[in-house]
Amino acid sequence: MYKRKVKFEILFLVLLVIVIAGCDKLGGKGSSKSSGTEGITINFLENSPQDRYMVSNEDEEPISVILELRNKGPYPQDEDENILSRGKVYISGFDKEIIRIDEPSANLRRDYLLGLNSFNPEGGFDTVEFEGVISSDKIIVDEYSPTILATLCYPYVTKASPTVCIDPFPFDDKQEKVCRIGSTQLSSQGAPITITRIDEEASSNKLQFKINVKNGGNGEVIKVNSLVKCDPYGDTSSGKEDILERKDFDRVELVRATVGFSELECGPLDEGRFIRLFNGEGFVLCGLDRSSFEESKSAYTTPLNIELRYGYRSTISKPVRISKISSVS
Amino acid sequence: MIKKNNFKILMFLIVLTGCSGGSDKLITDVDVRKGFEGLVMEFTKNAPPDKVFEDSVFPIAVHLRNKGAFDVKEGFFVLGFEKTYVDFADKKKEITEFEIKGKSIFNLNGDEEFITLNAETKKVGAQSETHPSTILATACYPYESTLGTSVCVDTDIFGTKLREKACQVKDLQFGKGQGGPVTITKIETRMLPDADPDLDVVKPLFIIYVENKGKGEVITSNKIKSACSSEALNYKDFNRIEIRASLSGKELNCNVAGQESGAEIRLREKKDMIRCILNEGIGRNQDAYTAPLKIELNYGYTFTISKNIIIEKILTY
Repeated sequence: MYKRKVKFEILFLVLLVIVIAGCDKLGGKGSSKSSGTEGITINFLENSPQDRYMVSNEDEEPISVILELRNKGPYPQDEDENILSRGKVYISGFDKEIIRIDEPSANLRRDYLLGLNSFNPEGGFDTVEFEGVISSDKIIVDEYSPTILATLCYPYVTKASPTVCIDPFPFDDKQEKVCRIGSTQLSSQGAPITITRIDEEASSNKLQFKINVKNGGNGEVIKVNSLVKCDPYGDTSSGKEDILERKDFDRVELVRATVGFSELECGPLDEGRFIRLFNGEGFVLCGLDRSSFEESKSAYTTPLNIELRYGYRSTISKPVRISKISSVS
Repeated sequence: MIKKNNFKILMFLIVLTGCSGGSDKLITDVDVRKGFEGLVMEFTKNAPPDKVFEDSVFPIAVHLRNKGAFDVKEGFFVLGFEKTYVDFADKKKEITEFEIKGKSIFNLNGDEEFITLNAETKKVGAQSETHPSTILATACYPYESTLGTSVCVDTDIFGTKLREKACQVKDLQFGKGQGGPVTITKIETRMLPDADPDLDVVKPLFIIYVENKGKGEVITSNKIKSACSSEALNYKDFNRIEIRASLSGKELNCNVAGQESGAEIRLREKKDMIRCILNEGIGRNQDAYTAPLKIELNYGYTFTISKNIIIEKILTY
C-alpha cells in the first residue's frame, strides 16, 4: 500500500514537471512582437576577425571583419518611413598603416533590416564585411595587439499606444466608471528607448500625462540629425564641427503624442521637440484640454499614441593578436 | 574486491591523464625577449684547478652562453692574473675575440662557446710552501635590448569625444626584462597638444625608464675593446646607452633637450629615464587606436668573474 502511494506521488511529480514545461511553450505563442530593449544588435561573426594572425616579412596577410546585424525591434514596418539607410557601421581602433581596410565604414541596407512582426518573427538580418590586408612590413614589433572596435550608429523609432482613461468628471466618485485616472506601467517596446510609465493626472480643465522614457539599451542616444558625426575618424574636410558634442547626446525627438485624433501639447522640450535624458532617463508632460472630451458624459478608455525618434550608437570590440614570424633564411 | 577497486582507480587516472590533451603552444608564442641576462660566463670544472704546482702549465676554460636575445659580434674576452706568479703560456692569446648568437625562436636557449687557454705558474717564494692567487676572466661585448609593444594613441586629451575607445592611455610596466642586462622597466605615455593650435595635432610623448639589471657595467659602444685591454677609460665612457625609438615606424625624437651627444641615456646609480616624442604629431580627428612602439637600446657591456687557486711548491724531501 505504502509503495503504491510513493509510486503515485512520483508519477504526479513527473506529470507536474511536464505540464509546467509545456506551459512555457503555450505561453510563448502570445509573446509580444515588441518586447526587449535591443533595437539593432551588432556582433562579430565567429573568426572574423580571427583571434590571432601570423604574418611573415614577405607577404601581406588578408584580414576580414564581418559583422552580423540583427533588428530585434519592431521598427520599421511597412507603414513606417524607413530611415535606416541613414545608419552606418564603422571599424576603428587599429593603426591604419598596418591594417589597411579600403573603406572602414558601410551604410546600413534598410531593406534587409526590417523590424520583426508576426510574418518575420526573427526580425531583419544583414552582414557587413570589411576586407583588408595586414601590412607586415609596417609591423616593427614581434607582436602587435590592437583592439578592433565596431561602431554602429542608426536611427530608430519607439512607438507605444498604452490605454489611458479619459474622464470628464474625474472628481466625481459616486458615478460608476469603466476606468480611473492613474498610472500605467508599460512593458518594453522592442527598442532601446523605452516608454516605461504613463502617469495621468486630472485638473478641472485639463488632463495631464507624464510620459516617462528610459534608455534601456547598452548604447548611447544621439540626435537623429547628428548621426553623420558618428564617424570615429572624423571628417577631415569639415573639421571640428563634425565631431559629436555633448549637446548631440541624450536627446530623443517626440514625433507624435495623440489621444484619439487630438494632438497633445507637450513640454518641456529642448529646441521644441527633444526630450532630454539625464542618467538615461527623462520625461515629458503632455496636456489634453477639457474641450477635447467634454462632450462625453462618462469616463472611457482610449489609446495614447506616442512616437519617439532618435539615433542610437552601439559599440563592440574584439582584441586581435598579430604575430610576426621571421623566416629561417 | 580491493584489486578490482585499484583497477578502476587506475583506469580513471589513465582517462583523466588522456583528457588533458597535448600542448598546443604556437611557435611564435615563445617570447625570447625576456629576462635580464645577456652573456653568462663561468669557469668549467677544474679549469683552472683549485690547486696548481709551481712551474707548471694548467688549463683555463671558460663556458660562455648568450642567454639574451641579441647576437654578439666582436665580443672580447681577457684573463687577468697576478703576473708575478701566473702568466699566459702563449703570450699571443692575451685577448680573444668571440661571437655568440643569442636566443631566437629557432634557438630558444641561445648559443654557447668554450674558450680554452693555457696558463703557467711561476716560482712560489723560497719562504712559502703555497701561494693563493686569483684568476680573473672579463668579457666585453656589444649588446642591444629591444622592446616591442603596443601602446594606445588617444588624441582626445580632454575626453571630449564622448564615445567608447578602443584603448586607454596608461603607464606600461615591464617587469620581466627584454632579454638583455639593460632593460626598460616602465613607459609613461602622455599626449601633448601642439603649441600651434592651427596644426590641430597631438604629439605622443613617451617617458622611458631604463635600468641596468645585470651584474656588470655599461660602457659606451665605441670603447668595448678598450674595456678589455690595458687602455685607460674615462668616467664618461661608462653608463652611456644609445636609444632609438619609433611609433608605427615613424622615428621618435629622443633628444628633446637638443644635446650635442644626440639621443643618449646616462645611467646614474644604474637607472635613468628619457623622453621621446613624435614631432610630426597625429591629427586630432583620429580616433583612439593601438600603435606599435619599438625601442632599441645600444650599449657595450662588461663583467668579470674570478676563481681563487693555490699554487703549491713541489716539495722534494
